[in-house]
Amino acid sequence: MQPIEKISIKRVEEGKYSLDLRGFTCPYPEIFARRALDVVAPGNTLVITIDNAPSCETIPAAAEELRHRVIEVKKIGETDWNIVIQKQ
Amino acid sequence: MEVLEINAADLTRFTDRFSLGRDRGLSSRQFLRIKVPSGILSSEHLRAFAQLSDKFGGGYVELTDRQDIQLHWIKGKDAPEIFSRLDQLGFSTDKCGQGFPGARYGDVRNVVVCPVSGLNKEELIDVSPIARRINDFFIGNPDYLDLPRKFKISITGCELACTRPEMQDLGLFAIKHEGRVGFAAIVGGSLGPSLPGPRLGKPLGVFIEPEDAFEVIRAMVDLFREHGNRENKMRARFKWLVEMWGLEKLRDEFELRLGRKLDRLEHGYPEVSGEEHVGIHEQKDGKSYICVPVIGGVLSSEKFRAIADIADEFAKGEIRITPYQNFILPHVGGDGLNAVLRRLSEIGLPAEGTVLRHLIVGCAADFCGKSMEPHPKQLAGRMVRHLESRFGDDIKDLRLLIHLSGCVNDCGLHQIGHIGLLGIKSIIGGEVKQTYNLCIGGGLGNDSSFSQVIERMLTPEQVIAAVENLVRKCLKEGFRDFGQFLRAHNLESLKRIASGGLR
Repeated sequence: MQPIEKISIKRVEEGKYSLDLRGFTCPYPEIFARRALDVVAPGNTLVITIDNAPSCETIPAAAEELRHRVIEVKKIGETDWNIVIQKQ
Repeated sequence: MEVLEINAADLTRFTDRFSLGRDRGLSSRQFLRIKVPSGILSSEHLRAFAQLSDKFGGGYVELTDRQDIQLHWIKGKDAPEIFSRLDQLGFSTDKCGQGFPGARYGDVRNVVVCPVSGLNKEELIDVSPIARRINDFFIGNPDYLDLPRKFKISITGCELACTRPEMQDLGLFAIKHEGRVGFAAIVGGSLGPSLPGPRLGKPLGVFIEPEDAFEVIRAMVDLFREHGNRENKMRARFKWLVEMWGLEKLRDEFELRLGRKLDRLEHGYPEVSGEEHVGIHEQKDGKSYICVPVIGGVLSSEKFRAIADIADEFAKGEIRITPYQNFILPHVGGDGLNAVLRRLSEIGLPAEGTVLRHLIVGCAADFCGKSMEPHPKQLAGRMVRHLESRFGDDIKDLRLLIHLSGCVNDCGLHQIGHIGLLGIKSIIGGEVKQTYNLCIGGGLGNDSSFSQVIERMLTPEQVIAAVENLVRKCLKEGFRDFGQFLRAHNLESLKRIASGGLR
């Protein structure tokens, strides 16, 4: 299987981006979330979708370590979560 | 639509072979479980793991009962460096897919292999080449990374069935059949609570030629991949399929998948099973191997380096991890034996310990956060030291399996110990304290059964006293095998003995 070269962060509306990390197990969602938080502009909101429950802990912890604001961690549907972070 | 991008190629090359698992204890959030194929490591590997542990894991190292190396306190942001180093060294990790809510992302866990394969004079088959082929095929194979759940395999050619085939999804053990040497298989074992509940595996009832072993294993994993339950995670382990289908249908489907019929074989469990290769034994080539007990598999980077030095000097730079969280120093020449034993004692790992010290197993509930002090591995150490000091040489050769788990997931195998201790948090005097249920009567092979609870929520002191009472009676009655002692008494009588006759 060819490694994925890039992961896209899509703009859903002005100041709001989404990042789909479903299918990745730890530690990849946390690392990709850190990289994404590097790329979006301060003040913008990043909605990260994951389906690996431990990432509901590791991503908010990483965001707080980087001093960004974790707005919410919300279960959506049977298997997925949205983690909403505002870059500071 | 505006799209930003992040680089992923440096990490996605690892996703099929590396991941971290979740910890929730001792301030560790994630662990790294390194698969060690056949449990075999070189002294250079030991030093490299020691270095990784010093840099990222607090200098702490565990040997697991699936012959893995486990490090804790691993930070996600350090993972790229750790994975790169492991990749250079030729290792991979468990895939830890249990974090996903659904029945998916299961992988083939480290294949448990007799650690004295190829050395043991008593073995029927040297399984090393088969084990290598299984590992080479399954590790990182994208076709086998989305099984309904994890799949556990063991294979042994030894006379002790040291790999516990009864508790694997698929366990192969060597047998002689009509003058031929090959394997029998046990299917659908698992000690965890997922449905249909804890199960010892069932004999498959076929004779497997050594040259067919790999294809048999592959066909069984294929069957699980295609027919395992993907609707419900609690019903996704292989034991559910085995239970739903029954042995006859399983065999039919398996042979259909394999493309041929295998000879039928009336067999049960191995007569002797789940034993450790305790002691010093002569190898096929006249050299010796030494089994070194490690209580709970707990070591340190410092000890890893010391073991590496001993291995370089006396064991051709090799060690082998056993399914009892111990390790073996192979290839020791006759003139080196005394020196090795002395050196092992000097580093605090004497090889001449009691059989109990070799057979005790404790899970890592301290790190997964399921237990409080004393954690299973701590109580294991305390128990061994107490019994050794109380009974001295009288207990040296007593075959006694004490297994400790911090929760019902039973990573510490308490259900198959002569004495099984299951951690339960209890409220005592208004405070939450660690207590243990005392279970007795578990075993494998001819003694196959799950242990039964005889006392609930004992304090650690009460547990140690109860075990001491049982051991004293066992020794007084002249038994050298605790399992035989248990069978000589009924449950009520054992309860009375454990309580010191106060009941």
